[in-house]
Amino acid sequence: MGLFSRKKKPEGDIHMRGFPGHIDTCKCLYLGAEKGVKIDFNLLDLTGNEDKADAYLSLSPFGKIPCLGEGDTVISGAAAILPYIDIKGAGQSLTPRKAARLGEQNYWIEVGQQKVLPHIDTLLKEQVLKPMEEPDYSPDQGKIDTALRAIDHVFEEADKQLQGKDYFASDYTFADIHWTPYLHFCEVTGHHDLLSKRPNLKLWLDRIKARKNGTQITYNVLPGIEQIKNKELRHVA
Amino acid sequence: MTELFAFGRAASSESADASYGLGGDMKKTQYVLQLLGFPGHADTLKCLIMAVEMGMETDSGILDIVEGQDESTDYMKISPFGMVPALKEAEYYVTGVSGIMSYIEARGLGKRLAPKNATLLAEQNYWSDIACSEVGAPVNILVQERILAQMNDAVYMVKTDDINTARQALVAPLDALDKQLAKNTFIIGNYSFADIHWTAYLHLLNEAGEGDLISERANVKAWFDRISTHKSFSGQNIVAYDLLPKLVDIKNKRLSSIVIDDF
Repeated sequence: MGLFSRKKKPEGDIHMRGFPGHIDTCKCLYLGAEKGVKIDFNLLDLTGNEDKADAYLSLSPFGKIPCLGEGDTVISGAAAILPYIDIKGAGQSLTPRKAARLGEQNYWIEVGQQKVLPHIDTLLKEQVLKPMEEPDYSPDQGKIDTALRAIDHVFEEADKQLQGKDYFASDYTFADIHWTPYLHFCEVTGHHDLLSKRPNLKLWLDRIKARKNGTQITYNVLPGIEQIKNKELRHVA
Repeated sequence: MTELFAFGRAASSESADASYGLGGDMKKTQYVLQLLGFPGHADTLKCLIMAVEMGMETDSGILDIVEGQDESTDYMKISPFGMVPALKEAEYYVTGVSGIMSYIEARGLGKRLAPKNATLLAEQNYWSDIACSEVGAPVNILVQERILAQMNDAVYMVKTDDINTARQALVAPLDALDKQLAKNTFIIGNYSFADIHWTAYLHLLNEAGEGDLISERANVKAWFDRISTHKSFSGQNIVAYDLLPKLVDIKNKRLSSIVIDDF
């Protein structure tokens, strides 16, 4: 099995290795639920450094997380996995056709990846992941405060963007897939105040939380604090 | 909105009318984009390459990041998070490489550059991701140390340790690219976004005097030679590589515009 092998047409179940407290894993998980793609999850224990083990690096040479397999095809990293799931899944592609919407979608994805994700990651590490590794660990409040200020600044702009819009690029797009775990993990780490003072962002999250695929609320696939601590990922059925 | 875009054909309302039609109805062949960026900035070059590949006429203006213009109040009005470059078409603005590249690709002439097949699309994005996450930072360090820092300080002492660390960081991704290109003309077979990302980084690497990292890898070298003569993806008789800034252009802060004359 190799990266992007083309010897056989991909077939069989899709399976993914990832971690419940990992933002990009949750983007893929959430998109799978949105698009109705059945995904079996296997834990990649980041608290045990499994992502740095030779076995994982043989699948993902640069250590990109998560890693998806289907038949002979192996894909690593959210940038590659998300469009793959989008095409494999039901319904229309989430990629907008109009140039202006596409530009807007990708702008907000880039803003999220550059200006939000690293700070959410800090919150997760300081408040959840490091204490899982070391029960006596005291979170670095300085790092947390810096992260919160940075997130707050971006959320202010995101709130303006969402004024009068249902979703980031008007229609539901990949931008919303990227931003959903960011806000989810703000709540998981107890920083509800980041949202409560941003009415448009709060309304957006309420809309996201109400989305269904069939009878299933898709947001519910995202792991809560107990699932992260127990290293549990839900299969997407 | 800002004077930063007061350059090129669109700066003249008379010529803008001529380009866009008096009724405001626009034909693809009439579009003139305005790209505001810097010649020693990889993301700017990616957008320039994309515009050539998609046959989009583009006037280029300089955003002097060496002088911190990307942090100016005026620029922040366009790009609140300071993302570079910036693109304007008529009243539409978009900033940052992801938004701009996809916008140009969707606006461009001819067929789309992004593959429709799920596996190929994933492969394209994987190699684009590797370029951005593994190659971008070390190339930026080399460009900074070898070119940009000396533009502001003639007696700047190059940080040799930083250069060696950056070169070492490039070994694994360049080796992986070399292996990938052993079986392909372009990175995923057909020309794609992935080639544009890698072209910008490897071109700057070359201009920074680190071209040995390319030439010592046979498949990367052969691919780079192909790229340097690759004609526009949309069929125009223009080679993107010819418009990329050479070292002297970077030092003199010059960025080419794109003129298409064979629609």
